[in-house]
Amino acid sequence: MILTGIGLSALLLHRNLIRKVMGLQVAVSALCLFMTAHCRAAGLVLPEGLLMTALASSCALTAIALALTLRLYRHYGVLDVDKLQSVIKGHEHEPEQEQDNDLKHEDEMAELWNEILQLRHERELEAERERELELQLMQEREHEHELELELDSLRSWQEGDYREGELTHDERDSITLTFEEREENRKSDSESEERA
Amino acid sequence: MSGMFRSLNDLLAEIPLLSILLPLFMSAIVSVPWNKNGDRDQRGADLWTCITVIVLLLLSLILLPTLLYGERGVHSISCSGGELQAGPLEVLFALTFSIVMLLVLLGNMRSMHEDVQAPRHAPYQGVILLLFSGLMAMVYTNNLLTAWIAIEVVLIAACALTAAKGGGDAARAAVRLLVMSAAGSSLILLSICLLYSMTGALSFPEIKIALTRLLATKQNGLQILIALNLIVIGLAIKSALFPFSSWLPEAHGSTTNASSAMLSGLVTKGHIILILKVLFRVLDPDVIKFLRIDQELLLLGLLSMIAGSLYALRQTNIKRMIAWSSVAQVGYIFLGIGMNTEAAVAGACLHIIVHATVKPMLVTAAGGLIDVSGHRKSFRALKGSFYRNRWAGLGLVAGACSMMGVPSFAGFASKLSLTLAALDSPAIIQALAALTLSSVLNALYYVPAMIVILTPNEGGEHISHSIDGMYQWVMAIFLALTFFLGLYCVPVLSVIEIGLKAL
Repeated sequence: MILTGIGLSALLLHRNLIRKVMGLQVAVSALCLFMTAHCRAAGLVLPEGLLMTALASSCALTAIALALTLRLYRHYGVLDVDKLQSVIKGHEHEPEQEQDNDLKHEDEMAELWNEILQLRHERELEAERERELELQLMQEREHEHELELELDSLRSWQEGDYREGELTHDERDSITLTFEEREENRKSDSESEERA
Repeated sequence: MSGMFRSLNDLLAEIPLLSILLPLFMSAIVSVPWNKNGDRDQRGADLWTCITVIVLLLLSLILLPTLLYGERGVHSISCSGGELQAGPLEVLFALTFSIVMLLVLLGNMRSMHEDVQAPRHAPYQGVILLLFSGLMAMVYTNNLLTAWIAIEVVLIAACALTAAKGGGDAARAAVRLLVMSAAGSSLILLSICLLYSMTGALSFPEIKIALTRLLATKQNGLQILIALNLIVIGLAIKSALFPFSSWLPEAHGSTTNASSAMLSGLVTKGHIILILKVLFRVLDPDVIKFLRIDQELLLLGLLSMIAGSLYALRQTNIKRMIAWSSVAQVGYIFLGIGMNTEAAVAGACLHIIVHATVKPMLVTAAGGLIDVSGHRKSFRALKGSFYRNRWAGLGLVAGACSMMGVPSFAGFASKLSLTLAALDSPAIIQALAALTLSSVLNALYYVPAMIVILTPNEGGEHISHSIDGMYQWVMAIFLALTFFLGLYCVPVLSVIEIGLKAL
């Protein structure tokens, strides 16, 4: 019980965050020791479930507490609670001045937050634009691929690989003849019709 | 046919266990990053979290009528070998928690995505489910071991939720919450150890039998008093009762809207429910009176009602004001428990439900107003914000009216039942004086807040911020619930009374 008292007083009264965490561990471990000793002395069944849970949860809490302490230290550079307060709010202010500082601090925070949101928004827009460009690029590649295929088929036809009967006369003409040749053919056809 | 009914009843008896295990299991599933694409993970986590809460809501809805109209007048069921017990009161609390949790999740989805981005978003949703599992365990527990585990789970989840936004302020608030709550947990553990050493039992009914025997033979009187006081003080620290409430405003000011709503709407209520269970399932009202625990709670409640309101008056930040208002409202609940009459405890239970519903609405509404005011939380910046987000403005006005106790709003019903209960209580003068003074103080800080948001901000900077449809739906449901609890509180009170008898 004395150990538990020491642990709890360290948790509540010490100014150093690491010592507070140590106090928590000491308090919980002391309670587990007390229970084990008391159950043995009184002939009670040891509540293993309770003790194991207490130990496991105190470990989890210690891990979280240390992680948060580390984050605080990285952010403010101090571990002492009093110094932390003074770093955040400055030394003793008059109430009105303190309120003004709070408002200024809030305005600064809000501006920063708005900037962060703006940057996030811009980043999202940029990502969207990138996605659109990628899509456009893919479409262009597909088109290019289709053109390549067409070109290949033309080349193969020119080389005489095509098989007779697969293309109609007009289709073959549309692929092979140039514009002028097609115009000439059209003219000669119309003349022959007129003659007829 | 009877076999089928028996199996159905067996199935219903497992609902409390399922209500604890399902969110616990889903929290592990949701937290795992399944895809390389963080965006898909976020949406999946949101979806599964909401589905889990909806399932629990439906399970509570199924269980409540079964218990109310139970066979042979039996209104409670126990499962898992008596480790858990469900009566109408427990299921009503579980139903309220499920509805509020769902509305908080849906209403604050957008702000959650803004504040907690991938890859932290999916674990954040997992922690929310972990918290929900702990709260369900607190509601249904019939055993000090389960209660202790639930307390620790809720503490860990609450710390993670507070620190989720990132940055130094959130870490500071989380450390303060952790230190205060860990001290509370240590006191509770010490109390459990003392009770076990005296009674050799951990389940509530067994402890009750052993304590009655010990008190009848006048053995270990001082030890019993110390153990019960330690557990009550430990839980009072976690319920943000003044003077142990400094962690709540700090956490409110620096965390996400959803976390704020859960902390003041659900986490504090979970611990108060546990106090109710420990006091009324382990001790008789006469024993509570004999040990003078009711007087302590009454005193702390009165102190909290006045001090919470006085601190709220000094605030220039809307979220801190709401947090201190929560401290005052928790005082009302303790006042009801401290009066230690059937009507007063029923009034306290109604106030738990009312506050668990209205406070998240206020926080969600304040979040909406802050969003349309350039993310500034001071009243100066919130001027005219009602016209920039009318749904949020309506929510804040309705919530404020409810907290002040304006007729037809939810708060009026619970305050009226507490006032009526005070008339039959020995502490009539103190209770009525505190209720009147606290209501006046509530008006002194909520009315200026309403005036500020309703005054048009001519010439001020125009901040455009789109409001999503889901937010509007959520606020509409919150408003409907506020009016429902204010106008039709009699059925809810009757369920509470049946539940208290079955406790």
